[in-house]
Amino acid sequence: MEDDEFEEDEGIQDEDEEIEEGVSPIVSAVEFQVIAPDQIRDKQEEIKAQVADVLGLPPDLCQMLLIQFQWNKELLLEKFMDNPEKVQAEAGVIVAPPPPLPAKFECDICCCEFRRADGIALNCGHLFCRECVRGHLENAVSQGPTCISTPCPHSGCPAKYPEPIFASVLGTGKFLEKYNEFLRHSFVEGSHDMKWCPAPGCSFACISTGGGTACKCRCGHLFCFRCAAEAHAPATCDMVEKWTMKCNDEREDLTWITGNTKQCPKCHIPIEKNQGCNHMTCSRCRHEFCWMCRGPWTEHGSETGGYYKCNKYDPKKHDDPYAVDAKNQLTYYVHYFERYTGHQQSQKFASGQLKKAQEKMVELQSRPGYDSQRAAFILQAVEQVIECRRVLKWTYVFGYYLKDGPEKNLFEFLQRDLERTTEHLSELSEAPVEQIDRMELVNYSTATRKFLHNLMVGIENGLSR
Amino acid sequence: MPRGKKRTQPEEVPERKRRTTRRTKRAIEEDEAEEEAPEEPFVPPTRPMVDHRPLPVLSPVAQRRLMKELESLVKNPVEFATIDAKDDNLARMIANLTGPAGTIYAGEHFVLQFTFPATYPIDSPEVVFLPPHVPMHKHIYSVGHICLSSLYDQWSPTLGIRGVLLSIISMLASSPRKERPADDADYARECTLNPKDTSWAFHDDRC
Ligand SMILES: [Zn+2]
Ligand SMILES: [Zn+2]
Ligand SMILES: [Zn+2]
Ligand SMILES: [Zn+2]
Ligand SMILES: [Zn+2]
Ligand SMILES: [Zn+2]
Ligand SMILES: [Zn+2]
Repeated sequence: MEDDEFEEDEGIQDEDEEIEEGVSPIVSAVEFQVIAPDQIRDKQEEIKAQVADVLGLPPDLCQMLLIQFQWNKELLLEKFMDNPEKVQAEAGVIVAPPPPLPAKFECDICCCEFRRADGIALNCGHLFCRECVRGHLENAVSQGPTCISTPCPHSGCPAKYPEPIFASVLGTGKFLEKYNEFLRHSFVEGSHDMKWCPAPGCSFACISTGGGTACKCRCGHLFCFRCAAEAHAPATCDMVEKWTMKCNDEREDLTWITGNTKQCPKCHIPIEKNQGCNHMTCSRCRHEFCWMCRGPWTEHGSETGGYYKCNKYDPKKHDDPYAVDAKNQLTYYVHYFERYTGHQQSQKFASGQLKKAQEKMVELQSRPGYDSQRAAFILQAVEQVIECRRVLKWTYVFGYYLKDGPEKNLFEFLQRDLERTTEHLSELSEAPVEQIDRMELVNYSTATRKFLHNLMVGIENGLSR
Repeated sequence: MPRGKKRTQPEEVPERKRRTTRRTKRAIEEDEAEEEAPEEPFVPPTRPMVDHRPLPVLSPVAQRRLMKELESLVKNPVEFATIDAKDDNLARMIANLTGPAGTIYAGEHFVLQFTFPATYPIDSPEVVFLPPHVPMHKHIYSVGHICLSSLYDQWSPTLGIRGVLLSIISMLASSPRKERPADDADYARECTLNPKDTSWAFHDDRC
């Protein structure tokens, strides 16, 4: 791997074999299995069969027991061993066959007479005509998720309808589909090692097979298995919840941060941000400044030695025209919120760049010496930017809740490193094809990955040197 | 017999609820500013129960079933209850209830209104007391709505008019005290004409 080009940045020299290319240090796909809706069914059948094996009951009745216990197999088996009659009664399962049924009967719902063959009875022996049972079951399905334990229509009868009766009476159609969906949901939501992917419209479920929390769905969505928010390391679920609440409280007063327009610090014309990188150039006066802190960009480069310090909250710095009302508390929050929002917007922007990156790859492949594999670095760079923006965003939540001290100093040091390379990588990756220097981009991708790794490991190790 | 307290359906109220909260907040501020505004005496809520909704058009199954039920109620009446049905439209019936002998309601007169949905008996009837003939009961709101699970999510299609009447009479018979639900005033403000729009949270008898 190429590693020239970098003079002052220690840490990017030749240790890059430590991290595998393309594998992020914070998302372990190994710890999750992603399954499609029809595979959910297989899992469900598996558990049904296991319980049927242990209890020696028909699988369909075992499903009723499992539904009663929210698919908690262990609890069901334990309670069943204690008191099988009670468990069966509560689940509406009657194991004994029904009493002898009459050749003809009057359906108690529609008050018409039918032959036995035209009626449906559970093991309780209450016969109803097929049409009335269908109405009863359809009505139950339209009532919602509780339909998976629908009782016999006879007032006070505990027997409940098992799945095969739904299937045979409802036939094919939207009611059966809905029923199956409710069943699937009860299974996934009941199983503690299973979660729906929270991405809108996604129907995959994820099974946890290890202890990890950042789960990547097959649809591409990366989420926290514990709280279902976007994967948020290094911030904890607790921090994310508190932060989200805080942001909701403050939202109305801080719309100027979430907007896409800020004034040029020099000539004050409004400037719209239409790129992911924070290096802004005013369209009128050509002043270069940082979107995050509105400081001059010249103070942000490594060249000047006046490093990138805009990640650190400095209570003495009161040049923020919006924060004059400043109780320190608010400026402290604003500092983090502004950077959090900045990275969030840049993350969104970078996600939008994916398509462009693919176009650039195609363009590059028309040149001599580039096949699809050799051109892939452009896409990888953008993916790297997206990941770093996401993590950086959450580091500001983490930082907000981190108390001052040597740990925070180290954290801010690591954060600054990552922010600086990400900023540069972001700028490089947005450049048109003819300006792209493959080696530079590959190097910066590697460096950025390295700094991301350092930050995460540093936090994992408790931020002590 | 489980019965309980209500919660009004989410899609019905939030807007109104939010407004209520705001109003309450402002009211508190005003109170503080004016130093102890004299407290309004409690006025039991009354709400016009004029019902302009059209009656459901019963399905043939519902019609036949209701005819059968009426026949059975004539042959074998429920004690303390008489049914008043008009042959031309079975979708609405009135039941006159007398407080059962030996209970705290003995001799009182109550009026119960049944409205049957087109899909009866798969769907439950709408059953309310008509003010002012509403029993003073811990699970009966002064607007006439009854907190009784078998009228809502515990309904079963074989229950019928008889089953409903028996449940309500037994509810009266087991009442130790004449009182309204604790949230009677709030409920009167929030509920719609149809008690089935309320999402009921049922407790056991201790609630
Ligand atoms: Zn029938
Ligand atoms: Zn039954
Ligand atoms: Zn997904
Ligand atoms: Zn979480
Ligand atoms: Zn300018
Ligand atoms: Zn800055
Ligand atoms: Zn109650």
